[in-house]
Amino acid sequence: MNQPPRQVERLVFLTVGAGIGVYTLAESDPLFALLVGTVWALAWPVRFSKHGRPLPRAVLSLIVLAALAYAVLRTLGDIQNLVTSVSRLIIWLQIALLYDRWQVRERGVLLVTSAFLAVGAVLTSNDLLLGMSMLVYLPLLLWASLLHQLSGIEERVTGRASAMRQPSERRRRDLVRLSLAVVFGASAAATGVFLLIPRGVGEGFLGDWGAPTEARVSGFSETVTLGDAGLISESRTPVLEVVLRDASGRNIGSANRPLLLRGAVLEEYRDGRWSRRDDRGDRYRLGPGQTANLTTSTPRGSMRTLDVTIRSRPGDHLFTALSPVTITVDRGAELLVGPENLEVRASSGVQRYTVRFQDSQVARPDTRDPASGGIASERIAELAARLVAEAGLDTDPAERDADADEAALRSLVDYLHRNYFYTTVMTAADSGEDPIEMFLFRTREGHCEYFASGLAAMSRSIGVAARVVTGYLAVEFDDALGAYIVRESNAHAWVEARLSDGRWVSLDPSPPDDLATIHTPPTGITWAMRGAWERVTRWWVERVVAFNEDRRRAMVGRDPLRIEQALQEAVSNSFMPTEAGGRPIVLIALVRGVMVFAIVAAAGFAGVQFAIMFSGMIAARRRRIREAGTDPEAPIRAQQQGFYHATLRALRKAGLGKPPGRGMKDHARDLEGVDLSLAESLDEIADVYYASRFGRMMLTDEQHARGAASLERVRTRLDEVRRSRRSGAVRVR
Amino acid sequence: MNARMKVRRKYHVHAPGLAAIFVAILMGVGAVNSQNNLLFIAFGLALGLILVAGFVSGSTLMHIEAVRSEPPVGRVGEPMQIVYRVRSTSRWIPAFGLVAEEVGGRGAKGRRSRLGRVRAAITHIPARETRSAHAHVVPVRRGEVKLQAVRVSTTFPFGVLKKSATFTQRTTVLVRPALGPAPTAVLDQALAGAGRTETVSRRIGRDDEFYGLREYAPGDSVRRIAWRASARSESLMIRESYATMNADVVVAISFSGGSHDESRADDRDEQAISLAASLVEIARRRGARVRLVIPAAKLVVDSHVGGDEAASCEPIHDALARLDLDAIENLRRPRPVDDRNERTSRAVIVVHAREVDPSVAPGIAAHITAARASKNAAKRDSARIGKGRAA
Repeated sequence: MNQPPRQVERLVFLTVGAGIGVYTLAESDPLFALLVGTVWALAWPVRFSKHGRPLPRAVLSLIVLAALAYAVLRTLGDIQNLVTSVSRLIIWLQIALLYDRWQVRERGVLLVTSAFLAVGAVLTSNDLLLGMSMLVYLPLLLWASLLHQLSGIEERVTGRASAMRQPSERRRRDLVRLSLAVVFGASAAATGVFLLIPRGVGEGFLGDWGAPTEARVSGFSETVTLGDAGLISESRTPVLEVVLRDASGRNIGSANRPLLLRGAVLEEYRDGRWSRRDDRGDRYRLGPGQTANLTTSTPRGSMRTLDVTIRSRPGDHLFTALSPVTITVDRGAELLVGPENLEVRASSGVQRYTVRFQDSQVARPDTRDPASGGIASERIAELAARLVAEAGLDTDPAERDADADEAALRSLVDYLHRNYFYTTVMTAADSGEDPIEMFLFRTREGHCEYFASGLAAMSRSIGVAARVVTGYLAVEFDDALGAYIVRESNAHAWVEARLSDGRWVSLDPSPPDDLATIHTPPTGITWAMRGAWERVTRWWVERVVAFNEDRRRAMVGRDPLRIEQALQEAVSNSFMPTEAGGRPIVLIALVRGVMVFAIVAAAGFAGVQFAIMFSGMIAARRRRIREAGTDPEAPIRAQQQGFYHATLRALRKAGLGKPPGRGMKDHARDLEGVDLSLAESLDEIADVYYASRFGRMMLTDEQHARGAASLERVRTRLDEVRRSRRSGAVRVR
Repeated sequence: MNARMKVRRKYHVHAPGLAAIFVAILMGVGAVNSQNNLLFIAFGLALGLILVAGFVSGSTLMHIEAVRSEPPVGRVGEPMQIVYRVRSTSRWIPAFGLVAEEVGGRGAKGRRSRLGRVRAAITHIPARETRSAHAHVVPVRRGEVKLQAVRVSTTFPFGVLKKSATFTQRTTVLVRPALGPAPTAVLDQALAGAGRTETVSRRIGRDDEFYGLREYAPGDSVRRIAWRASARSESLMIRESYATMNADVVVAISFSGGSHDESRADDRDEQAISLAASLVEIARRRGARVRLVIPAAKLVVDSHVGGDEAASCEPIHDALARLDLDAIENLRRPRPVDDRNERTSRAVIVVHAREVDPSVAPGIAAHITAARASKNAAKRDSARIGKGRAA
């Protein structure tokens, strides 16, 4: 299909933009997306407007070099950034190419790198939006590739494209049919691979490579910083889906049973900031379906189960209840099990996990001393002592039993409920002012972190060990799903306090009415639409992202094509495992070798570009100096060449502009199919111009008149071509 | 398609194809390692696209027939066109992005190619239809080019797999020597030596062109009586016509001279052949009868007499095209041009590949060397540029 190259170029341009859009959507960095989106959009007039000119190679090489340096530094800083760094490098390389001259090869490079960018997007995120954007992007990429191949074959063979011939309807129809067949075939292969390759085999044999590396921002944070002004995000993006079961497996979740999902336990307080203790715990590597024990003591009391599906990964933490006993993961993962925190490697592909936990009222033995200091404030101690005394309890912790401790804590919580206001607007603390004191004694309003900090500070001042816990408050129960839907806006902070009998209890000092207002899902048509969207998202997560071996076997059987056996053998036997870890060192070396090669090749490419650029600049400068010094006629000649530039302008205006880098004689040949007289006139103009420009001849009056006459003929012919086009037919003479 | 035509179809190891397979494998390994379901889908798509590309290109070429039209005679430096008729015999599958090219054969491909790379693109052939592809080539060396086979290949749809079908079709293309600028002065000089100033002179004779009337004289043919004019003048009038008298021009080539080391044919010999061809052509255009004499090859060729004038020197050009200098023994040995019989009536021009050696044609022959001719042409060009500058 002899597409006019301009149309193919525009399609390639749009495809590149779509690829960048898909990747930035996956990466969820709005600033970067805005930057590259703007730069991409600005390339359009540079590329396609009549006054557009490619940027100098020097500038483009500098852009690529800077991007390369940034990517290398970022990757060296943390190997986890490899995918992001390489993808961003590809984007800047594409941007540089967009501002450069294009030939067939450049178009091909843009399309191939765009496909790589799509792979980068898949390695970055598994979001539904990404999946949907792929449904738009992949057909676009396919169509652009087909048209590029067709026009490229002709350009490569003949040295020029049949620029102005429109494809026939038959060709268009055939190509559409072929494209549909390709889409059908490729989709069938993708579905086959998706269904037939056994899951779990060979998982993690090359480390973390291939797993999504980035996550959406969630409301959850493993640190709490008080005293900054601002506003808390109220994003309703679903983060988790949680099913609560009792020991018999019965679903006992309901909207009336709010659930605190414990994420980070923060025990250290300093200068308005709560943070974790520096004890990350032990590492455990679990295979798919394997279970890890989270406690060394024998479980007592009733057991419950949380089935958690991750809809959008909220960082490294796994969310549990107060006293988790075991955890089972659906995919292989490396867990960090600390005394209080439970984490998973950021790049893990875990999508579902099940936590068995004890009823929170059962005492838990401590494996270490609970943090109790850090908040030395006489005013807070006085307030807490007064409140405890007002409740009729002894202020001396040694004189209180566990029930008295709990009563004392309740009195503090009641005080906060009654006398303080909940707001998501944060007020800045004065200089030198402790944010907890600011909350308790000056502003008397704040959000959950302030309430939790105030209670923890007061609890510690009356001799009860307390800590701030961040996680989610699950209150939205979907009856149809039988699951809690946990959103970013459900991020919450509360307090865990240790009673004198060793039991830890959860206390939520935030006013319950305000909490209900904040966390209860809104109603209305917008929310209904959002609900529909979430159901689609849920389907996506259930059926695609979290598709596992159980589901696969249910659909196609255990291993109909014996792929599992082959994979097992390949992973276990074929690649010389190391003595220690059992990972195949040949493959690891291969993958790392490819990475190093890619970096070295990119650096080499940039170096060569840089050298070419500078040598070109120096040569051009020397030439200019030499010409100016020895050729006083140069400015006069440049003036004489005006007819040539006028011709270029006329061609651009008529939509038949000469592509950058293509000679006028070649362009004249390209236009033979449009108008033979026009092509002949252009050829004459090229003769006169070349004599002046490259032969360095001063044009005679006769030559100048010939150039001007040819220009007039060109203008006349272009007018006729325009008229013919308006009337719907291009007359070929 | 010729029933005896041999067809070979095969897939080619192609760098982009290897790269695509490598990337697909890398994605597969990544998917297995990470169990990332979207990566499994991406791997499946990559695999599917490679398979579909293989199927599309393969099935396209399973139903392709290509025939080369009889190629025209070419000339060095002048564009020529070779036409291929490519037919898709498939009932359903159209063919896209085909490249028809010459493969195999001496002088058709490679560094010593006479035609350069002969390729033509066909973007689309609907099912059960035929399309023509035109390969435009500019021959770079004279001689006979043996074309062996036409290969039709495609990398469509994604450029990752290359499949080809090769159709054996043997034929020969003759490439004549280049026609370049030749000094006409040497022709004038040769004509002067033969006692003429023009290659064509006219006298009263028996051609068709009318000259005048005269009174009848005894012995005149009755057929030449102009009856109408005779009736007006009351005496018999005879119609007289012109007759054209063509000069005879002999163009000879001498390869003698040079050192012993230069026994093999080189560019100067080719320049001499090209110059001789140019002189032959100039003489033909001026109406002369031309004879080519190459003593070293014992070759004497006359222009075709009595036929179409435009084609009259074709035997000479063909002989020059076929002249194989490497087959001539003692190429550099001086050999006299044998023009004894026509010395007084024929204009003789001797083209020397190296320095002028008057002994090969002593007397009234005009001599020119290929090197001098090209130098003169360069001088003319520089004079023109200089004139332009001065203006």
